[in-house]
Amino acid sequence: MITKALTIALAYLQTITRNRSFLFQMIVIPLLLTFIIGQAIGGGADELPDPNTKWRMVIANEDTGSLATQLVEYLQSTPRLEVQLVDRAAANAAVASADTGVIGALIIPADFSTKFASDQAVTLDYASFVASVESQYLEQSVDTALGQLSHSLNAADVSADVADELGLFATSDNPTTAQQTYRDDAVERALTAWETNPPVVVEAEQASFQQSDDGVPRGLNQTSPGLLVMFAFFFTIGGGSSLIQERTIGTLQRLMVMPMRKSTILFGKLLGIYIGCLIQIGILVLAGAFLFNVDWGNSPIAMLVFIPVFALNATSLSIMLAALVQTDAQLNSVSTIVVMALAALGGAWWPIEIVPEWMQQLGHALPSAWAMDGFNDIITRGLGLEAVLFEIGVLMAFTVGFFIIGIWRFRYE
Amino acid sequence: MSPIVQVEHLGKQYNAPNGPMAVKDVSFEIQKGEIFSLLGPNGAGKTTTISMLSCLLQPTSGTILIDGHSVTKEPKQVKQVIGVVPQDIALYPTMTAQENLLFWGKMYGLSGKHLQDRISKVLTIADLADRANDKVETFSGGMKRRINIAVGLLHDPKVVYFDEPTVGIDPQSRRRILDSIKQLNTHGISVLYTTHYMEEAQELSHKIGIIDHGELIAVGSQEQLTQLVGQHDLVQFEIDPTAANLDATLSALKVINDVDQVTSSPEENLITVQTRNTNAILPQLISQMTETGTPIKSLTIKAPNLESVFLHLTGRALRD
Repeated sequence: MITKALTIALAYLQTITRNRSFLFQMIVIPLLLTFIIGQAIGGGADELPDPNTKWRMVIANEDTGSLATQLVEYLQSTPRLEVQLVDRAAANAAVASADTGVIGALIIPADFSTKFASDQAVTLDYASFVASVESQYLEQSVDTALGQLSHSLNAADVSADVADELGLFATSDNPTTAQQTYRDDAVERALTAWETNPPVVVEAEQASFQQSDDGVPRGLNQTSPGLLVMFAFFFTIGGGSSLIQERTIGTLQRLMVMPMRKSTILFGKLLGIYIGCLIQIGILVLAGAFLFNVDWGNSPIAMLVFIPVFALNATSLSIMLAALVQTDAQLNSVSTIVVMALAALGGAWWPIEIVPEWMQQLGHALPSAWAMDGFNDIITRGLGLEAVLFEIGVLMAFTVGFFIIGIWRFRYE
Repeated sequence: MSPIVQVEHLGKQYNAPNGPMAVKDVSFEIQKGEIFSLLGPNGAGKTTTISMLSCLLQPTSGTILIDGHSVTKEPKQVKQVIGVVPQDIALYPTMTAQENLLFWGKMYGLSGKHLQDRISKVLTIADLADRANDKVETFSGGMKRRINIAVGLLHDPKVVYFDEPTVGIDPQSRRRILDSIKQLNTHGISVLYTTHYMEEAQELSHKIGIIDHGELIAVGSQEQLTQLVGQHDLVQFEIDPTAANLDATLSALKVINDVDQVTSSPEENLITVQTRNTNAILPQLISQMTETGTPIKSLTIKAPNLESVFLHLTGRALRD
């Protein structure tokens, strides 16, 4: 039985590999759509920057005062910045062109420390070649550093004033000098405290590089599995159509006069459709990953289990539809409507999370929604096999139901 | 000789119990080494009968034994013995002839060198060895028919069913097919051949069964069957298609003495008269046709044949 079923399956695969039109529709078009959508939305969805990337900035420090030094040291210790000290002319030249790779330039004037310490207005020149996320980050880093300096000075002033009121400097030979020394020491302590004992610590962790804030798939995370699900259904229903064509041209009847069971014939045909669907999905996944940088999640095992389950479901749908229609023409008409409905309601065209609740419930009456849920768990949410076991169970339940109806109702003649 | 096919009281009713009876109480035997033709018009029940003999359809009544095996109880054994050449071109058009034969041979359970030898053999029979590696879709209708036949011969069956294998093909391909069937028969293969072409049945058959409306109305050799109609000739007039008053002509012919049957086939512009006294009434036939406004283009007189038999038994021409 197995040998003959495999022979039938291979014959089916042989015939579809020679059908260029079918291959174009089932392989090339989804890849083209992936490419076009990828171009339209700029590749992967919600990509966060690589935390190891360093952004270059140049600083022209014309001030010899301690506050200017503190400012430079602070910026040098900022994790994402690679700081280079240059003169004013070099700083201006660095941001005159994008070719230098410098994101921004900061010029600290000679009177910065004096004016900043005495609470006078002081101007820092900050320049970037273009406004960008990176240049904003640099600007914020400078603001933060100045804020720390300002807060440290304020804290030192308050501390010196309280000490003066308590009369700590009154016994000194030179109270003014003593107060200034105390203040300078307080500034130093405050600045050190920012580093050793910061008032608030925010620990940021990148849970998954694919995860969007709300868990809703976007960009290629949405469209790639969506196209995969839709075109897999098209492929398998095309296989169902070939079953009806075989009934029409008489090859199915000829198979039935061969010494084997009907079940062997149907098993062989469905095996061919199933293997073909797996190959199609494999091509879409691999080509998507290598040609268009589509990311298929962090769990290859989950994908290796989930894809065969989904392909089996799509195969079962094909035999059920082939059994419920009379002619190939009817199936062609029905298949377009069915696949479009499966795709739209199941979340293959847009995230099912954005549609009204009643439509989400309606979608989950279809296998496509559960397939998309599984793919989204694996791809968008970066989850593993255990997270999609429920979806696998639901898909298998659909599969069993479809097979029962299909095998029961299919007409061989 | 012992029968390779035994059919007794075979019946088939679609959508029982109220559906139409496609085959009614049909009984016949095919001896080993014999060519048996089922002759009848379209819709007579030929394909339904052959489908039941092929294990494709379950009979409603009756029994069928093929080489001693019951088609209902031992279908696997029956399928090993029979070769079926369906009316449709049941081939994969995008595969080559060789690939088709390889596939179907494997379906028969053949493999290895034996399969390759059988493929070479049937390609020779089909006279298509030089086109083995061409896709079937590039073949002419006749070549497709011949590969269709070759598939049915792959497993060296004891009896081969041919279901109208010459429908819609050119005369040259038809000739090749008929010759190859005769050649097969010389190697001891029994043949069940269905057709609505009287000439093919006459040329091929050792025995003929005439079937109409699901009933087998006569069985025998050609000689036995023609004796049923005695010395009745068929006089066939090819008429002008613009004949104005065909009904009047037919009525006028029917009342002439010694005219047994008159039928017409408007599609072929033919009027057929069956008579046992051709020489005496021929002038009358011609004059009546002329008087009733039906111009004659040509005239053919045929000695008793299977068409006469069919006309005699059913009152209708075989082509109707």
